[in-house]
Amino acid sequence: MRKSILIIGIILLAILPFVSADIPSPPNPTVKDIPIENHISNMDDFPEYVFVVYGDIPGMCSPKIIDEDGSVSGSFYKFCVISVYAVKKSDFDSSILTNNDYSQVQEYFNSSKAVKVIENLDFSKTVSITSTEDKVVNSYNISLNSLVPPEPKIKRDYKIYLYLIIPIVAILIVVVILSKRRK
Amino acid sequence: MNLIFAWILTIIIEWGVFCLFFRKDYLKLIGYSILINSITNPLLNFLLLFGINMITLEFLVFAVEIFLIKLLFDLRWKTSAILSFCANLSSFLIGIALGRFI
Repeated sequence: MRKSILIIGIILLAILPFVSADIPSPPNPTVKDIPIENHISNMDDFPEYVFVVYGDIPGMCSPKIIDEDGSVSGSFYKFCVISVYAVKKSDFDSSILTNNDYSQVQEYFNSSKAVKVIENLDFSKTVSITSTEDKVVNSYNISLNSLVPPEPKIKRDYKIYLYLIIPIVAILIVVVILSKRRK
Repeated sequence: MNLIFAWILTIIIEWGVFCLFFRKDYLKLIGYSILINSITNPLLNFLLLFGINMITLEFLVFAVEIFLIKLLFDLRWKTSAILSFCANLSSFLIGIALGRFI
């Protein structure tokens, strides 16, 4: 009787964390978001161009001119796919920054006037709560002839392998201790 | 909290529990505490990266430590379970308390 109560108790304890029914998920306490600072390092090489950062969701990812120091800032809706475009100052139409007609804005950035120089910019990154990283700085060296590839979404931290190597070494030591004890 | 700090702290807390329980062979006990926590603590932090629930992981650590304590200390299953429960509850509660102050 006692044994069956104990077994039921253990099973209940094991499944308890998975019981959530319709309760909204609380924020995940094991991860945190850190900001990504994007920076164009060679903007001075293109004095005749205006650089515009733009997403692809109307009203939420409106175009913005990039500061002269090259820092790409702004707050965008999380599902926006953010790209940076270079537009010749002579071709630049500032009304595009406030234009609410999505199709016109999209058409403008798809035209030959705008050259996409960076694509898939991220402005935040989710890391483990145990991570010591507090921000990421991405520096881009752009060219008008080639698109800067997107930053890899996952930057491997090779320290993670220590999480696996240490337990394996410890298990081996335990095995050695136990086998010596048997002899 | 820094991972290495958390690891060392867990080793010390669980060693304290083992010392209170056995009251002898303190050097051997620290060795066993290092071994046990070198298996469970890094694995717990590794699995945390995948967003697995902390309570589930603590329960897993508790279960694995019963097994390790049983093997290393050569105790009965029930005694191993009690010792594992006390050691893990102490480190969990002290960890939470320190986490609020650090």
